[in-house]
Amino acid sequence: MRKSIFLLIMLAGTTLSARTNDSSGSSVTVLGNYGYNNTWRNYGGLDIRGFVPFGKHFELKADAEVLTAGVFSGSVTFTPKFPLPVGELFLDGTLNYRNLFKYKSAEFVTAASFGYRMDFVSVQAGLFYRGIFNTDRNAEGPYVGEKPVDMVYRVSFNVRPSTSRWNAGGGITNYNEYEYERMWQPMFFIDGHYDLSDSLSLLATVQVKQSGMFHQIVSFYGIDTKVGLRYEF
Amino acid sequence: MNSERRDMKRFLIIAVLFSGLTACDKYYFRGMIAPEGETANQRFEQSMEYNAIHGNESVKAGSDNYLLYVFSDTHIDGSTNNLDRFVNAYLSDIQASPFLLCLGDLENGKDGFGTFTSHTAPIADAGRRLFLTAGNHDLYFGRWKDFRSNFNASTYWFEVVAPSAKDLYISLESGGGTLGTSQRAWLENILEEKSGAYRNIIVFTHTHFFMKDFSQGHTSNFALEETYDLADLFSRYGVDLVISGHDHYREDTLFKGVEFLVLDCLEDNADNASYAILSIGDNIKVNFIDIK
Repeated sequence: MRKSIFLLIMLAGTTLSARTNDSSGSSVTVLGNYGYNNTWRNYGGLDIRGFVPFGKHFELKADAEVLTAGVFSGSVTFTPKFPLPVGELFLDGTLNYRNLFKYKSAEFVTAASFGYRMDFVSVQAGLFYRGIFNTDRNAEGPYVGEKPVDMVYRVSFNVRPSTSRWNAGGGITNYNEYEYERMWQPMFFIDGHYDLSDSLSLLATVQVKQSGMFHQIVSFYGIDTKVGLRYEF
Repeated sequence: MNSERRDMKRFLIIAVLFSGLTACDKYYFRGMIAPEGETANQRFEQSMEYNAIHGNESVKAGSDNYLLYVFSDTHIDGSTNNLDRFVNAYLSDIQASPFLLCLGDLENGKDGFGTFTSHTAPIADAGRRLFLTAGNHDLYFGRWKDFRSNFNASTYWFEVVAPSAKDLYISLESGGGTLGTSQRAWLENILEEKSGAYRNIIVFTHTHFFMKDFSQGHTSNFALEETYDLADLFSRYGVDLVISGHDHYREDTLFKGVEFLVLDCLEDNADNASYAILSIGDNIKVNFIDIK
């Protein structure tokens, strides 16, 4: 038991440091998107993100994405955060709208989640609610409210401290800026950045979604890649 | 309260199984990580091979309004009490149609489908036809081969010819949580070719599309993209009813003009075991029959 506690402390000591957030100023990010999945096949898209910090304790993020698959998504996230001696606690409150105009359907998600992020590891868990709308006025059945709350989660790691000029990592989650999957539909991702200058960074992320994981007959469903630039003011 | 206790018990059992503390012949955890066996496209092609040789069936209904018995998720694991009750009820109903539907997850474990087949044999002996589709429990442990050898195909269509109307029934194989690309393309072709020629179009499959409550345990659904795509496809081609199981708890949802019906399970020892009798006519009505 003592040995286990010692190992845990050593692990924490070697992986945590005080600096936790790699974006200290306002920024705009533009990403190009290419993806493939079994439903949409090949698709592309454009992703624009804005980030504004308000002092040490608040952040505001706004994201918008258009895909050639006939999907528009937008979300706003307000984040109170609480710096700790090691890492910081944060609370994400998100409103997400996704219009799948190709399918004459839309969904609205409200999510709230607590998280704890450090240099090398970040964990987040919370709840979300999804309402599904029929935007085809000629068809009956205007609305489906999915279960009162579903779980949202994200566990990620980085290979270097967040102050590093470049970093890479990965993790597992059931959501991203534009899509909240059901709890039992996890997605795996790897991501990274390289600071080209003090204000300009190159970003990339790859996300993989499988089908039937909790059917216990998993198969590849889709991959989504994004590459772009972030400009920090 | 009982259902909450049951859900908690089920959760604890699953948690222990996931921990690897017990050997398990009901769940196939490796299947959560590594793709194994036939892909959805391969299973579809094998169903099509059977269909190409044997053709699509046509069933006669005695009247324009008929009663359709549907059941799902028997998960036979030793006892067959609920299945036997269901078969007896069906065969003793003189108004029942000469065919019925089963929405998958016939058995637990990996011992094959012999018990299910032997206990549903009286249906065939009475000259009636049981149409099945595979659930996820019928696929992992490499059981698709066994399913095929017993039940031939999981993707197919058949028609019901009543005196002055015809209904189209389409079976989709969604046991892997996806239709796959080939079956999706086939489905659209069938709907494009046949919609308009039938009074009702009824799709039946294992995996359900929406989840409006906490009833579903730890099992997955279609990816969201596929959910929206299929819901739109059904709506565009005038599908009247989509029947699923998998959730083990009944649910009835109308979305974009399509009724999505989820059945309870017929598993022994389930508090909510039931089956459905659908009254099929110009309108479709659903009646759940609880098994106490």
